[in-house]
Amino acid sequence: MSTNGDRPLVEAKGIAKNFGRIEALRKVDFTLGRAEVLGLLGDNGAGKSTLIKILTGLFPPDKGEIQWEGETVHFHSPRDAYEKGVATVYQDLAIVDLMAIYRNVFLGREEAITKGLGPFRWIDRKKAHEQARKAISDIGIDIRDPEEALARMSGGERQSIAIARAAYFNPKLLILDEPTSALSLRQTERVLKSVDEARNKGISIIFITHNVYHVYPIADRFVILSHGESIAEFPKGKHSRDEVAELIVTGKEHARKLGYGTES
Amino acid sequence: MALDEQAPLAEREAARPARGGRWWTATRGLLTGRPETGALFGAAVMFVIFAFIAPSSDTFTSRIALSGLLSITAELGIVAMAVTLLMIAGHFDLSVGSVLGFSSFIVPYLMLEYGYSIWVAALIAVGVAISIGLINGMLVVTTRIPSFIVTLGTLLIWRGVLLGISGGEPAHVEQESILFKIFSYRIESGPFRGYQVSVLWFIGVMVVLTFVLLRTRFGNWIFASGGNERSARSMGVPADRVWLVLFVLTAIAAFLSGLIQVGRFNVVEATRGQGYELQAIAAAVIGGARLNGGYGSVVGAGLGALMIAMIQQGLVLSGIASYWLQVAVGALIIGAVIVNQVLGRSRPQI
Repeated sequence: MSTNGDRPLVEAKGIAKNFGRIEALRKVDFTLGRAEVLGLLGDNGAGKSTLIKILTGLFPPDKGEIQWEGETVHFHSPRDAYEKGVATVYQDLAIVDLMAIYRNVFLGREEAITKGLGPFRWIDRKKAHEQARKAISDIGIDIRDPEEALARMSGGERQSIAIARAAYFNPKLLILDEPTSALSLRQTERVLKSVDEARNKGISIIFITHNVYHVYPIADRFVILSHGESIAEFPKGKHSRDEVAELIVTGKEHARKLGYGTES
Repeated sequence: MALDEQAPLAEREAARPARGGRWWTATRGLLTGRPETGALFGAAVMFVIFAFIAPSSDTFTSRIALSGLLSITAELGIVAMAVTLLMIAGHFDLSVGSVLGFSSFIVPYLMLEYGYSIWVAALIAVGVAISIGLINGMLVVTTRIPSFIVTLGTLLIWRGVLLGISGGEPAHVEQESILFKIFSYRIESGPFRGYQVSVLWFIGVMVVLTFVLLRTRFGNWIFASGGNERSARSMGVPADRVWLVLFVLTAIAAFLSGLIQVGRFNVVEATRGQGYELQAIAAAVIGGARLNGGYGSVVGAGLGALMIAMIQQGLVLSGIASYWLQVAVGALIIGAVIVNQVLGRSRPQI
């Protein structure tokens, strides 16, 4: 684990969540180090989205605890999580296609680019352009004109701009929900480059996907989720891509054969 | 172009052949860069045409014709520009015409029936306009009924109330007042002789709303709420609050325009403001606003109002029966949207 702090950033222990009779999560454990990319893998219905929603403060877990830099935390709202340093890029990216790039980057956080006195504040366009350009070049993308509408960007560029926006406000944890699922291989590469740049900035990343081939080149470690349980956690290199892919599909029994989950 | 769609933008741009050279690139950028560009050229062309065809005796470019043109533009434009902000934020206000009529009728009505001073009457009327805007906004935000329907309802309601309390009779204002001078004074001498101060209100509203839209946080929220409500909300934009404020703004703008007209005509008929709702939307659309929200221009709406006013004025001066006004405005709307689409080739196609 590549820790540069003394403790891992996140330790999740025994997370469980029910919705009525449905057990969305039974028992999830994982650890996330600093400046580390964790590939969170699972098939549809494995509980990935429920886990994200817990981590981003949309609802609390029924059981288990989350330790943040060694201390137990309870996120009561997305605002709570955001203030601790959790940023999330959802699948829909939460961008507005008709709006200029710089307007998107600072959407909802316009304080960062306004000047003026008290309630009389206005957008400093020069600063906004510079900051937007910087935010985006920080994750390895060049833009020609921050005034350009997002709709003119390719899918990969838009994903990267959404990542740039999240990374700009210096989060400690960046959660990426299926960032590559709608992209071509070529565009996926671009997004992976952005993830790498974010990691170089010291940000820890949870990369959620059902496709191991997309996350394998970039991840440092993996956690496999199956039927609401984390069935295996291992560093890259321990298993081949094909083995990991098989593990996602075959689930717990297969994981046992590989020696996971026997101690509990 | 045989270029890979996924190549970085800079590469794509560099590899694009320099068609027609720098000059054309710059001109094209100017033409396509802003939503109001089409309206600007349209207004200029229309002005030249009318100046040419109107008979010389009562020409289109005479002082009296131009001042009348600008008065009509100002009154419609103030409403249209507020409506445009609301449209960019993704909503309609069809009640502006009724609100204009009702709130401005209140002023002479309270003076004649209850003996209020003009200032008190105007103050009450502002309060009424704000309340109507709040009601529109609250209904839209809490019930989630499309604003088109909500304000269609309030269009009928407030027009009905106005007809009810007026009995269909016009209310006259006999008295001279500073209040009317502030909003609709007609300049009596000097180089601007004949022009009305309402033009200054029009320009003032245009400058302030443009600034708000393009240079403030609230403006960013207006674009976002209309462009993609879901994204706006998940980035923490209080879309409901944005809409409430804008519904109040359109109502206030309708009252302002109504007050200007009270000063100009010294009378309020029960039909005052009828048809304004559609003319305001027409002006917004001519000015480049997108019907589904997320895109548009305050300046464009002002130019749209100018074009509608020019048609009104130009047809009269050309001796064409005013029945043809609707035909011309209708054709203009469709033409403008087509032109905006052509100019918008490089703009997002969504």
